[in-house]
Amino acid sequence: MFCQICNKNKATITIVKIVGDSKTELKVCPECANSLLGNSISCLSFSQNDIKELLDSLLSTFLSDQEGKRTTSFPPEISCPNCGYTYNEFIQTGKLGCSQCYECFRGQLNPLLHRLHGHSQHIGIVPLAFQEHLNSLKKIEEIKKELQQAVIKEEYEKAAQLRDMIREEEKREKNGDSK
Amino acid sequence: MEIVNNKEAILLRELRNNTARWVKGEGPLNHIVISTRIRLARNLKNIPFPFKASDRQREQVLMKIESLLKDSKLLNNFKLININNLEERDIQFLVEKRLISLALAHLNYSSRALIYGPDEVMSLLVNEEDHFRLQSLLPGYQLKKVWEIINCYDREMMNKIDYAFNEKEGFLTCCPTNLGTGLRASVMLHLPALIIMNKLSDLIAPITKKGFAIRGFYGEGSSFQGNLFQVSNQTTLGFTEGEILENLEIETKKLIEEEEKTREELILNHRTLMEDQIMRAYGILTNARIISTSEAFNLLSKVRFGIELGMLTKIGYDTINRLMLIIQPGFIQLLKNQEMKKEERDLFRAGLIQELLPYKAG
Repeated sequence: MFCQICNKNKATITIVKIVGDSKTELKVCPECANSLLGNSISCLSFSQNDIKELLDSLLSTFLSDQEGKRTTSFPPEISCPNCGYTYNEFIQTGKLGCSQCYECFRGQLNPLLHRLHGHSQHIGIVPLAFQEHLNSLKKIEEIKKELQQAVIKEEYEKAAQLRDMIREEEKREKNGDSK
Repeated sequence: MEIVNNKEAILLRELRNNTARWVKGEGPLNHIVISTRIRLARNLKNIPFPFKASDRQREQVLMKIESLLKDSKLLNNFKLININNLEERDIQFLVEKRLISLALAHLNYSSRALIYGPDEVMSLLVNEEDHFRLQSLLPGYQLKKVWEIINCYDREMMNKIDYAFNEKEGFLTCCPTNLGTGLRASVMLHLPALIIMNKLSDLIAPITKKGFAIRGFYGEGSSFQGNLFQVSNQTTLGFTEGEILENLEIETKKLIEEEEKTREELILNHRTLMEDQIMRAYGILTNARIISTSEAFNLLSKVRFGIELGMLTKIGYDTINRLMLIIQPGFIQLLKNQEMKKEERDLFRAGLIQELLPYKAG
């Protein structure tokens, strides 16, 4: 679904507005959500203490072996574009719905990961296919820098060659990804 | 003679009769360390985690691994048991065998499966909390060896399956507590001397503070029995696999050293008292007519202690390990091939123990 404000980007955030008994929903992209709400943290009218309390309650859900049911709410409701799982559901269950939930809830999850593991960046084994993907992205980035230099120096023949190299690498990367 | 037709029943009977490698009891430091286990949590890209997936999606996960079993040379002698086709007591048997987790046993999803290799050294759970849980299990203290084995199978799967992975959070898991490496390593220790001398709780506190868990025989959610404790890492993100294993080794070795020291103290100061306790336990096990699982488990711990201290020489760790398994309720019912009430099991258990233990301990 496209953002209901800009109609260009993918809508990944649902803003729920509740006034009295009426509830309205607006599905927007992160950029429009930011411009609509300003600073995303202050707009949620959460103080630092509220957030800490929320994370503490989350943490105790994880650390307990029992499946404690918690009813803490976290407006606005963010839902995963892949599986539809919401952040509130995560708080209640301590589980994510799918691998894409991690990207969707990254902002909220980061402090929690720090509390759980003391870190939030993976440094262990990387699957070979993913390593190739990373190498390819790095290579494209390097050629792009070279291309910029070539344009500045008005070496247009070299720039054209570099542009073709980027296209080729991007094509290879796309094909590799779809395997 | 039993006549067994269905595939699952045949495999269960095979498992009942086979002795897993870890049960054989060999391996470094086996006078304190029962076994070493590592598990890796892995998921497929784009398919929701099992609890959120549809029946069709969970079936896709199972089909994916079934086709890998056929294609991979490394995995083609592995066997698959569909958990959903089993009765509750057979599921309990697989938990007792340490092949499936308590979590998998208690779930009611479709398409749950256990896949295992020769000697039950490598196994794989399908559609547990994560799509795949790989497990490797060896006797004694063998963290490095267990890691080599599981890493080899993980790489094989990684080459053929698109795992859910990203650069920042690593291997993506259903619960953020397993994120990053998805690696949980655990070492099972027999610590009777630390319990007798009431030293264990003081030693455990600093270990748990450093991010390690101490659990019972069957891991998460199981109670402590038979002086057996599993020490495992809790943190999985922000460390390499090697660092996690090294840190666990440091903490485990401390407990092993303390247990050894305390055993020496006990022998030096209370040798006769220890011998008395051990021989009494042996006497009950070889003479009782009715015995519960927990009583038998605790007495077997004392007999194991006797072997560890060199007081009992006619029996080995393999006998004690096998007994620890076959006295469990699920195993007993599979041996009798029928559902049994507690009283019937307690009676049958006493007989089983006496079949395996020689009357004189030596």
